[in-house]
Amino acid sequence: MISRFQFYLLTINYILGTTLFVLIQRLVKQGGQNAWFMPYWAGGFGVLVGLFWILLFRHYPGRSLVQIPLDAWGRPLGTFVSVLYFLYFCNLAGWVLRNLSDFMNGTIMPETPKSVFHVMFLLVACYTVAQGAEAVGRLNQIITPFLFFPFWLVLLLATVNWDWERLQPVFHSDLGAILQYHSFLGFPYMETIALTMLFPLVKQGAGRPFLLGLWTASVSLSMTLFMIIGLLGVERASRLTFPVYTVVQEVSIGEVIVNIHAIISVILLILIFIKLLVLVYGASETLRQVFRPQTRWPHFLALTILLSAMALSIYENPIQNGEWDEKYTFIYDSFFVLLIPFLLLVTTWIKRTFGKRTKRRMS
Amino acid sequence: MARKRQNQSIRNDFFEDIQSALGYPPDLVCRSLFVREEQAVHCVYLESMVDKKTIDDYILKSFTEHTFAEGEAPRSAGSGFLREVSFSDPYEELREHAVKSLLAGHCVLADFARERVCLINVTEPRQRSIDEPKSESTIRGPHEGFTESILTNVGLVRKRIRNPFLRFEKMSVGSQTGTTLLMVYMENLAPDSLVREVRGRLSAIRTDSVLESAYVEEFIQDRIWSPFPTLTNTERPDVVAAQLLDGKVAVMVDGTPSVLLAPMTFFEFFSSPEDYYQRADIATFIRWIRLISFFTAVFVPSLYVAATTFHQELIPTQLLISLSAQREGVPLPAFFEVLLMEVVFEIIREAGLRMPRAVGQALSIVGAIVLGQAAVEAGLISAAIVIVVAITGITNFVVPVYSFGMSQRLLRFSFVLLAGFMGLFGILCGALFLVAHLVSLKSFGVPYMIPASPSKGADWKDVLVRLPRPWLDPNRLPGYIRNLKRKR
Amino acid sequence: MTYRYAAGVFILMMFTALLTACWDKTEMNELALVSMVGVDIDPDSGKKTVYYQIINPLSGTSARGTPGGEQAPVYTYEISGSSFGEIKSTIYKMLPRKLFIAHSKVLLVSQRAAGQGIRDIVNFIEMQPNGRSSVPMLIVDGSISQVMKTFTPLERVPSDAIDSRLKLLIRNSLLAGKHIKVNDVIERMEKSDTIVLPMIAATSENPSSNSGETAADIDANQNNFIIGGGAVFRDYRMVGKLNDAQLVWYHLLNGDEGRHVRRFQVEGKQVSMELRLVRMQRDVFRQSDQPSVRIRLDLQLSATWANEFVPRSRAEVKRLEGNLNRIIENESLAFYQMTRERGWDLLRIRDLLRKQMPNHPDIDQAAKNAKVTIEVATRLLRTGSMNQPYEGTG
Repeated sequence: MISRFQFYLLTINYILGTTLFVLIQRLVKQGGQNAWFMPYWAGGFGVLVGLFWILLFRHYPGRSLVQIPLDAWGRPLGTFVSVLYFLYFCNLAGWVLRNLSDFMNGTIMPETPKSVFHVMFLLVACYTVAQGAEAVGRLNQIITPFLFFPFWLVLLLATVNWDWERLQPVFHSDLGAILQYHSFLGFPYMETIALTMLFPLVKQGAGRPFLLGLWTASVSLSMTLFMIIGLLGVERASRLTFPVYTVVQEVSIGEVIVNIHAIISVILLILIFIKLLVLVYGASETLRQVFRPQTRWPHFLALTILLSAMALSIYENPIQNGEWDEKYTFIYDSFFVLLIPFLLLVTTWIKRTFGKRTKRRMS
Repeated sequence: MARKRQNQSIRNDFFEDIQSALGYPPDLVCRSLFVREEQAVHCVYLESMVDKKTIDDYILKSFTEHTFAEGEAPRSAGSGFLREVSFSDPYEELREHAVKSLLAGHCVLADFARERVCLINVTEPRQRSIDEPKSESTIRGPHEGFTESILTNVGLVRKRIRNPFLRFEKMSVGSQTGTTLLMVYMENLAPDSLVREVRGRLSAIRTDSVLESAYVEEFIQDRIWSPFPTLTNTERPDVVAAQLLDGKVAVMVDGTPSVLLAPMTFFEFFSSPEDYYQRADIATFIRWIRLISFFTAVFVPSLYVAATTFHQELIPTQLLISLSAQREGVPLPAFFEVLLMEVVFEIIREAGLRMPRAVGQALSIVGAIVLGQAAVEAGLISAAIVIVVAITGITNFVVPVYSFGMSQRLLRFSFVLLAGFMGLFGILCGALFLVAHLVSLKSFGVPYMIPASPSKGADWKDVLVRLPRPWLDPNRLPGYIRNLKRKR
Repeated sequence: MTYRYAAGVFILMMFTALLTACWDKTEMNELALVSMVGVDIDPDSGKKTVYYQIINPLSGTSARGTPGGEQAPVYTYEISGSSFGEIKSTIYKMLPRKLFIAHSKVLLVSQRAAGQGIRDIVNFIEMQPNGRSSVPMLIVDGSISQVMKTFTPLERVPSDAIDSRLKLLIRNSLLAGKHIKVNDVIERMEKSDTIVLPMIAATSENPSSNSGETAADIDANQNNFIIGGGAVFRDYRMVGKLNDAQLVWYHLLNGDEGRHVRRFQVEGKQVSMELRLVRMQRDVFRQSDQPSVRIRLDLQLSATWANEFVPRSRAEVKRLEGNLNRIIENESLAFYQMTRERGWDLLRIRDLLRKQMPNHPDIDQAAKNAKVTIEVATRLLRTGSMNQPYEGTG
């Protein structure tokens, strides 16, 4: 059982996960000086989608995402849909791992083969997931202060180079460009469906911490974008691959401690780990709930092998990834996140009204 | 007539059987007193286990003063000082009983004429006097420590908690050794579920010998494969009393001064009894120092290795230049240097434990200072390593509980290995693994990382800050004990 | 059970693959610690030459005592190639250790390279994952090869000498400003702005290439370089120079807060006053469709260094302040006129107009035609240890 506060923190860390690494540059390129406004708009959309899911989950209390198709559509079709979700989670996890190794190879450890990063993180994630959902929630709760304080402390230390003029003129550029950037809706907001695997385990209801977490993550993302634009300026931030890394690179405490970017990057990797943790939990729970195995360790071993292979082959270079992201993320995610839940909801309503009518006829 | 002959034969057989059952030990004493004509009262005891003064004064004197002989022998109901065993019991049982009591330090008084055998408890095994435990000394506070006799230990606890609710439950474990175990708790404070759990685990122990409380600990602990202990042990009665008043359960084992305490959480390993005998602000400061030393002892060597081999940009320029200069001409890479020096330090430490005191002082100075300095000057290691290892070694011993210090050492080595291969990324993975492990540990149903992990604000009171006594709720129990009581 | 064993053995074998992470490992004495980088581009052949000044770690004392002989504190390596990226591979024809740029303190660019454009250099630095773009960039007045091979007295590592001099200049004068780093260059150039970078020149014709001689020579000006003057950049190209006097006005009108002492001629007397900028306000007004910019400077004066003359009464102070206000206004306006004639927007008027009037159709024209007024208000706030200089008897 996870407490509400733990689930709230988990939601925030999940959303911020790879976003802080991968998306900042694209957001600044799209939004210019007003990029800090984009998370609010996307966050609003995320909250709406979240409400939609909560509505679906209300009809099936105590069931997780993959058990709902089993309940609603029966065993064969439900298993097929659950396996689709399993593959979706695996896909997302592969992405996350690949983003991680791209970052590490591109910045602080260039010679190491990517599989090392994948396998190490997967081992730790599988161990944590094997201890149960409580371990996931508690780990996140303990780790979050070690993540939060250094990150914001370093950003505040970097404000020596702050220049308000970098943020001006405000709201002058084209707002339409902001609204048209739909891939931001897909990654990261629609990917929070993996968190719904944990819904039945949250004490006293998961809806409120989930929505609060979405909103807090948007605020946090917006503040980070604000800081990045103020510290780097739009021209640099829209061209650098990892703006957060560059900001941290230029921080110096006193004149003695310079170059702390290695420590801060490694601390930020914790965010990626939390996202991976939730996805691995989702994937392994799907297997457990659908197929109910006796022993679980073979599943973890197989999952490790599958995910590390998927991470290596998911895209060839970041340019490919960028193009796919801009064109197809929204559509791909909405299949799993909007279409299937919508069909499930429709089925549930039909069953309900049909059931009521049958009952009325019988009584 | 038949009875008399029976008695006669029983008498002969009886003592012969006892002697052979015990293997004709040199300390078995058999004394006979002729109280009435031809009717002897025999007294058998193991000399090494009994208090001969009591035997002489009370028992035998009262015989020679005819108190016994006159009226009836003093009857007793129940066990304790004097217990009667009836002749009507089967012979094997009688003999078993007698042998067991002899081994427990009783005196077997056999009066065959009146057909009674009495077992009198005059146990007083030889033991150490009450002394301060060497590994848990404090500046201020009582300097008494437990001894190997369980009765003495019970007395030391009882005199601190004069409360009828202080319960002692006796158990016996070890098929070969027959060691006595006492489970101690305060009935009005300790949660029922906890007491039940401990009792259940203790009664489930099936082993042949229990010589120390560590044996018991290995049977009742929650997880075998973990570097972290889930029970603590102490030799101080004031610590045990304080923990009992916190609602915990103690397990005393006969033959060892170490008493086990359950349950224990991670943050409680950082509090020592001395915190409560010092002022609140100083105690808070010292507690923070202990937490910082935990992190130092575990992470400093690995951070050093990671910084000097993978992430040299972290090191300030001047320091980097001087470290580079030190490393010119040194044969080993930094990773192997650290490992080598850590192993050497462990060897020195182990040797220091076993060294005779006369040689100890000189050798430790030689080992620590001269070896280190000479190795640097010979160009075998660089000077910074000596400092790193020294800091780590010293901060290792800051934690009040010795078994926790061992865990730190294990962790330190694994982190150095991880750092040597993967730098800061390896340390991160190791740290995440460690946190995941800690978070999944439970100590008798209590999550190990309380109050950090399932957390409520009030629980933090006694962890990072030691609040002054007047501010603490007089009826307060630690948060997780309250939770357990609520769960029932 | 056999499955478990097999899986265990398999996992152990996979663990050996994890050991490959140590490919990133470098021992500390395998690194070449770069302290200064110099860049030169030959205008005729386009050949790019890079100078790396590497710190010699043995030049200090260590626990084992000083090594035998006098060691040079830095060594300069010179390498050429047709692009900067190529140099990364060819540097190891000369350099015996792995290049480690993370602790470099200064970047020097030769004047002829600056004239051709520094955009390539800047892109190259920014693209490196461990390239630092927070280092100051200086332009070399003269031969870069000579400057890179000069030893400095007092500070053994020349880049430390430059770095500390820049810091002292920023604080104690208006001859250097804070915005001289590579990332400042990028920002300003991307916004079509201008930037002025400090210039550095060697002081003697033939500097000694023996560090022992330099360290033992009493004449500190002999083997040294001097920082002075400014190079004006627009669109990544050097378009002109400023001398020291003009540099002062440039930094003052751009809001730098160094404490600068200058001798002014006031009412026939010479007076050395220390100026410090307290606040600068820039406002834009529209006057019949032509923007006009008013710059208001508030300066704080200190008479600590005024050994010639100290005002005696409030009236004298007021007169002194009034005179100084006028002088500073006139000279700074003259500076602005000079920059306008040469087409350099050194006061960054265009940037200001872009922010305040974003909807203006033609910003460049407006910037060129903008009317600029400068108002100065000085206040004497501090005096020295004496309130009257010694006058003598006759």
